[in-house]
Amino acid sequence: MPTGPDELGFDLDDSAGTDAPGPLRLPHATLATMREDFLELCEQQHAQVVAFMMRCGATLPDAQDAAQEAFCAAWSELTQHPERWQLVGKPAGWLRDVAVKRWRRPLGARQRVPESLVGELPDRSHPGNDVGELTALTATVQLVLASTDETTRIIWAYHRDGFANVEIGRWLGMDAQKVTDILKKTRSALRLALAEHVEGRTTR
Amino acid sequence: MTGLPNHDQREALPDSELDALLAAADADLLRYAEAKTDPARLLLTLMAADNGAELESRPSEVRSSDQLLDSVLTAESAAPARLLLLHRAVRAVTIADNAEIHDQPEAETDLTDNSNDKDRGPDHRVNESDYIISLVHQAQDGSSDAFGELYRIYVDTVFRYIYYRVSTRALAEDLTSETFVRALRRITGFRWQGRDFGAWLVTIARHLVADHFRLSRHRMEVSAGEMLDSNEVEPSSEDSVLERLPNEALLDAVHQLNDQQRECVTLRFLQGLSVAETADIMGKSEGAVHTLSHRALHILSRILTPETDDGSSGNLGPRDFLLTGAGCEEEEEEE
Repeated sequence: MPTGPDELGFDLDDSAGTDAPGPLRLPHATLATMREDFLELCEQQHAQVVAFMMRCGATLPDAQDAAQEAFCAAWSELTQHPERWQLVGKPAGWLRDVAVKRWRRPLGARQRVPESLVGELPDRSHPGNDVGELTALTATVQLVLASTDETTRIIWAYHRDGFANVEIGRWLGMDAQKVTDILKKTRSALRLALAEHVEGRTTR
Repeated sequence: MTGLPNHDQREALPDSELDALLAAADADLLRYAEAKTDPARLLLTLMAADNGAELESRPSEVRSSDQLLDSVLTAESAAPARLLLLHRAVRAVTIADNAEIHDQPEAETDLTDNSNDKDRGPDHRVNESDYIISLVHQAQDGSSDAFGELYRIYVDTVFRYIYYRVSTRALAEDLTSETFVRALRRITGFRWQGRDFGAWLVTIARHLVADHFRLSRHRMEVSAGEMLDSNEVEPSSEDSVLERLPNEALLDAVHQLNDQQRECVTLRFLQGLSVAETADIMGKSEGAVHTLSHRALHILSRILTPETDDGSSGNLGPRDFLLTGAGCEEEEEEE
């Protein structure tokens, strides 16, 4: 069963594009129920997708923007192409995949600025380094990940969110064995760094 | 060459310990992301996803926190009409006290109703009510536009209600956002029970405020975010304190009331809810609300009424409270 957006046969960058067919006319009651389900998905997954994106190397604002775009795309799919959405086996994986693609997309004419309304809200995020508010342990893990390449970070982020190597490989277009090897290497690097972290803590 | 850790020793970190550390780091990162997740952003995400183009074309309809606070504190916008209402009610009680008439709760009701209707025309309440009913039905049927309009209409009311209870702008903003997110989730279950939609929103807000205080009893730390935000509020109010003194004095006086009196006054006069709606939200009888509000107004009157040389409270009209700042001296409440 196809689970990644690419396998569903549509271009993520154009999922809200002008060549898409007009909005599907759904009965209002159906729409209300869908909205309720979708809000539940938002509540369950939003922070997780933001954390996932930060593990991939995104800053907090970038992670939030990517998550927002992913949820907007999901709602668009859900309401305009419900038949396609039904083919999405794992919405959690779909959201992460879309968020990663939006985050990696190069700046340019097709870059959609996240909803302007958000700019109207007071910004309560802290300026400066995100890592400053994390524990030393988390900061250490983030630093180790930051020293690896982007693909490695994305693979690690999927892995930590419980996705199978086969799924990760399929979404990233690589062999499952290669995913396993990359994870093994990353784990070794983290083992080393965290051993130092534990050592520093005990000798202090 | 002993005593120094080498790579082999470091790599000896057992799998179970490594997994535990990684899980702790994951949990911390998730906690961080959750703390930074603004419910209003989620709400707007959904609304924008529903109808992005239209929402983007009218960003001015979403009011910033400064605008919301200003609407409470300044005399130029619509909200101080409510403050004027409270001023008038307090004044009415003061006059009644001076004339040794102590039990005229009807006077408050008249003041409330007249003020609204005079300004807006006789059919306004009926038309407004129909409009709100129509919006609620549309929102229940899934119209994000209608919900957006309800948000625009009621965000001020909800924010003010919460702000009076928590007294922290940032927290009031958070809880206001959370109120609307919860309302959006539950709007399909909303049933008309003879009260305003705003009363339903305020009930949600009330529960959230209660939850907040209940949970905060167990909270030991203050996050850096809260400290920064609360610091931000001070300079802006200090800058304009002289201009705002009369209303500030009134609001200060409201803060001196006990919890129930404050809530009652806030709902009745600052939110403009009827006695029945206030009673419904507070879970009290209408008679109890009458008594509570009357008692609260007496206390406000005592706090705000200036003592003149001859010991009387002067002979000022309702507008004098706003224009002259009369009655800014505060007395100790003898509750």
